[in-house]
Amino acid sequence: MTRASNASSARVARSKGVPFSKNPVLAVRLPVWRSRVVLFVLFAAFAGLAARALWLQGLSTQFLQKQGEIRYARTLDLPATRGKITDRDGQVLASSVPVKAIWAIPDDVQEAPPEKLKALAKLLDMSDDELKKKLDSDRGFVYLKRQVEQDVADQITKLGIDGIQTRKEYKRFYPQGEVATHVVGFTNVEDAGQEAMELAQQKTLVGAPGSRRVIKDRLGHIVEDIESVREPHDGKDLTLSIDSKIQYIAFTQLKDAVEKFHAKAGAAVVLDVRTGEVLALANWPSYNPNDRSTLTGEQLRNRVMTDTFEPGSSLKPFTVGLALDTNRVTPYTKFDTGNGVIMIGDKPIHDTHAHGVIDVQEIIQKSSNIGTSKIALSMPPQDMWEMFTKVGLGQQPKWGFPGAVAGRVRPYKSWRPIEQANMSFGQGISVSLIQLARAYMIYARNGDIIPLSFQKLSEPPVGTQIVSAKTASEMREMLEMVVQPGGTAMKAQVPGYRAGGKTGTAQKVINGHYSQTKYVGNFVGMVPMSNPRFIIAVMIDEPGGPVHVGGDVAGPAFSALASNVLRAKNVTPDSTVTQIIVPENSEQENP
Amino acid sequence: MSGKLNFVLTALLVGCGLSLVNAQYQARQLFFELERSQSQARQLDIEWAQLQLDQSTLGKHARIEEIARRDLNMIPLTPARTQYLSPGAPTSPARAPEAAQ
Repeated sequence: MTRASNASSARVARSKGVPFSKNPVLAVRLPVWRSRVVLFVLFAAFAGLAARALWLQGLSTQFLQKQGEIRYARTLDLPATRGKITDRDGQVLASSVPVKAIWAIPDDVQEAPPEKLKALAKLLDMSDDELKKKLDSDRGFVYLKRQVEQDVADQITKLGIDGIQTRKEYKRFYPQGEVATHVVGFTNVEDAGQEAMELAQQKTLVGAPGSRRVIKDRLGHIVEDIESVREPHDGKDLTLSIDSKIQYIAFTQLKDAVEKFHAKAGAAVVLDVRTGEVLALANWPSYNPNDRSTLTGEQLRNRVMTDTFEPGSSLKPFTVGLALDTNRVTPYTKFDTGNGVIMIGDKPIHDTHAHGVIDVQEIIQKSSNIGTSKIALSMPPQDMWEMFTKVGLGQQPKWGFPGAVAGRVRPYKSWRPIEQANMSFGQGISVSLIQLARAYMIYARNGDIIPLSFQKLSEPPVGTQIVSAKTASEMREMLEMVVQPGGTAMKAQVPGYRAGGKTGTAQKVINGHYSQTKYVGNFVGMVPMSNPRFIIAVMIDEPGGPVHVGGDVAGPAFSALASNVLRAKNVTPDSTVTQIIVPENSEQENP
Repeated sequence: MSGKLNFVLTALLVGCGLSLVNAQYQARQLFFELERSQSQARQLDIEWAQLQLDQSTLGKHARIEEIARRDLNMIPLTPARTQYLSPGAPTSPARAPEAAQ
């Protein structure tokens, strides 16, 4: 009532032109508690706000910021690609391509319509039952198939089955397949190297994955980076010393030779004399690294690096070379090899034929065991042992290749004369093919030896002198005589080129005894003889046909391999011989 | 006087605010573009690796040899019908010129 009358009196006052200060409403006295209540409520509200602000800003900031970030920030993994492996000319030998792994949350998939599951099974290339078995699992995560190619994975995504997910991964492809696999190796499903160079260079090939934190908008677009990006570091590419052309030649010629002689296996290696680079390393039997479902141990074996055998006569040049280098003999010193048998202690040593009195050159040319033994026994065992050791026999190779073996050269203190004689022509000593090939470096070069490399080198390494340049050239002359008329390996002649080398045949040791039926034939040679560029070693394991001698099985393979390599590398022919005996095996060029 | 200054400052403030908005917008645009280009670069990288692989697969010597033999009826060179020419040197007597192809 009062208020209404007040208001009306105020209006009346204004209409009458009474100034505000004289307004009668101002004179009205309200009870004090009313303004106090208003004041209190206002302050209480402010206090409430302040407390809330303090709570949000001060006490639960971290929690809130985290919650906020979860809603907009994402961590993206930036995968690193495994480095490529290329040959020395940049041709790809191994490369990773992104593919998808298909995985499932089994409980979610159970509810999917059966026809969609049928389609899925078809895309995954498995039967319905197989798929059901995989999905019938208690686990929350099941891989259905790994390394599925991108287009198939896209089709699977398009099916839109709940609980089927994809994950990015890489698959390694090896375009050269079985040809180069013993050098390149392969990786497993996790992209980790398992064999050969893939294993040896795992650390540099693999790279380091990175990550970045980003803000994404509602549509999933990246709006901005919120932390500095941890850049992924892709694996380094690896350039091998392999020449894929020579590798292919070595592989096909070796395969032909193994099949032609019904052998169990074979191995071949081609070295660059100037740089020590391994240009080719071939094995048969081989396998396809892209499909390893039927892989056997026999196929996996790298006979060049990991198998040792008794080299036989191909070791003679080292015994004879030592004698030449220490001036114990000259190339023309005569030795009486008698009727083909001599007794050392109570053990006989045989030659294949009776050679009578021959000089050192002929001992190598005709591969006389007796002659070599006589030369060997004129030297202290320690000198021979040192010679073998210096050219790397019995030494653990340090060329960064997994599984390379040291071979075996027994300590000289335990050598009896008969053993020393045996070792002089390669029995009672075991080496790998690559060790044997490398040892020939001292003759292909001018008496020095260099380390081998499986990676392309920018400059040739420095050699260690083992024998004099004079010895090396004398030995080269003898090695050339081996493939000439009167030598043991005329089938190793290379048409158009001067070649040289040494055959070796050894009986295999089976259960501690020399087998009479199982042999290893090998040939180590160098071409072109006027200025050696390649050392080529071939080993044929257990030839099954009537021929088993190194010169007859490994010699032709060497010849075929060498002539193709020289042609492929455009090496000018250096032979001045007008009557080249085109060996019987030249049809090997037309396999 | 002070009213005028306030007006200028307000205008400046508004200008700054707008330019900030513009700058942010531009930054986002450029960022999008960068992202797109980067993902394109990645895609091209993958494609390049794939093409290199294809090149190596299609150019492998086994395939070349097979095609040369089967489709082109080529045969390997034999020394019997090769004539080597080296600058300044007389023709090698080993191989009759008429044998050369």
